[in-house]
Amino acid sequence: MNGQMAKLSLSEHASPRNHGEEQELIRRAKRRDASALRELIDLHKERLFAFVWRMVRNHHDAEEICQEAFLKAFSALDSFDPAYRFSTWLFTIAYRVTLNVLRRKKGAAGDIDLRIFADAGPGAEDQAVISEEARLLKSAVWSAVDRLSPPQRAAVLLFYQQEQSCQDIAEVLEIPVATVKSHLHRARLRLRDLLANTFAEDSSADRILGDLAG
Amino acid sequence: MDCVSARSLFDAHLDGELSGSLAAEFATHKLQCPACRRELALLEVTGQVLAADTEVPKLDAEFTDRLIACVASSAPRRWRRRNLAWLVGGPLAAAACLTFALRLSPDSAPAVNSGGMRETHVLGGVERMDSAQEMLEQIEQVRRVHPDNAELAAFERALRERVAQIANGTAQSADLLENYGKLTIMEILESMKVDQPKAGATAAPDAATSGDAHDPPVEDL
Repeated sequence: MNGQMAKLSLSEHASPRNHGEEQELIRRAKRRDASALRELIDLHKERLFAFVWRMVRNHHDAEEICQEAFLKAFSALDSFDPAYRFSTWLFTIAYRVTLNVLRRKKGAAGDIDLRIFADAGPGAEDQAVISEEARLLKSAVWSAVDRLSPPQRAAVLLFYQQEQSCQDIAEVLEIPVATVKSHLHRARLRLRDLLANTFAEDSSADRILGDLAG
Repeated sequence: MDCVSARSLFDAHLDGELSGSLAAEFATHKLQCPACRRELALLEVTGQVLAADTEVPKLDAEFTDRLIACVASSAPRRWRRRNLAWLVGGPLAAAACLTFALRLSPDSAPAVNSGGMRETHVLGGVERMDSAQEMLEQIEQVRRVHPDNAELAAFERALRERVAQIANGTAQSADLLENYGKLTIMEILESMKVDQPKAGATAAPDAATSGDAHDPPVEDL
């Protein structure tokens, strides 16, 4: 595996096709058309990996989970109703596999990939100071997210990173919409508490917050 | 609007669900209350940091190729028989599929019985044995077309040894099943001192299929 950190813009990788095109792709994939399967994989693999990696914080495990999710999806493709979105179904499968892995690992603290805390690049002195503050803030936020329960973490990731609606998140996590909102609410409270403690000790991050608050 | 009411609307505001007069009241309170403004900023910046951070490790460049090979290795027998050409690259990837299937599938997780002896779940063990046997059959078919491929020959030998170990159903083999599951394809190749074939292995010149070796013809199943 490589140790490179890729700058992945959610808007830059292949955007999901319109629903009609996806339905045609699914139809071809059901006939085991390899080019259709390949296209489905390439359409969804980056977003799926980004989500799973944030959940398990281990590159190797995340890649294997994604492979497992795709294989399970393809093996059950005949029963998939193309009226629904393939990505939602795929994320649902991946989430289930992720939970199994997390349960077996029983705590991912030792597997957190510290590369997410890589230093900012060189630049002007002022820029370096701002980058350091931003780095501290990012570090604090992700540290807090990593301490959320898996369902809360998944809800937060799907909402903020994957820009999913509460309805979509409910489908992926296979829970009611009200439960999704409850997860987000509790996650926000927990994040607030964790970050408030961090900012109380860190004057630079606290200054950022003060500026943002106005 | 007091602080208690305002804070009860934080989620609705963050979810973009506040509108009308309630939104106006909320905005007014926010302007007048530094404490609520600060607490809301804490939540807003959290969301902004999460949304803006898109740095993730790079997915392996051969991810799609390996996955397609895995799909092919689990396809029905009559579909596989017509696609010998691109199975040259497939068995190694198929072995990787077996490896991670053994690692991730709950069916293969060993349980500890009252005697302290580990035992594999029978269903998982049978499925994995079938997968290993099918892989060997694929390799045998390809080796008839490419009898001089040293990499395939070495891999077949290693796989036969593993299958034989798994087939001996004892506590020792249960450990070996778990150990085999932990081996990656790279470790197998390293032990055989074989270079991993590049993605897009060329098809045999007399392949039954035409076109791209990675895109076998569609067959209705």
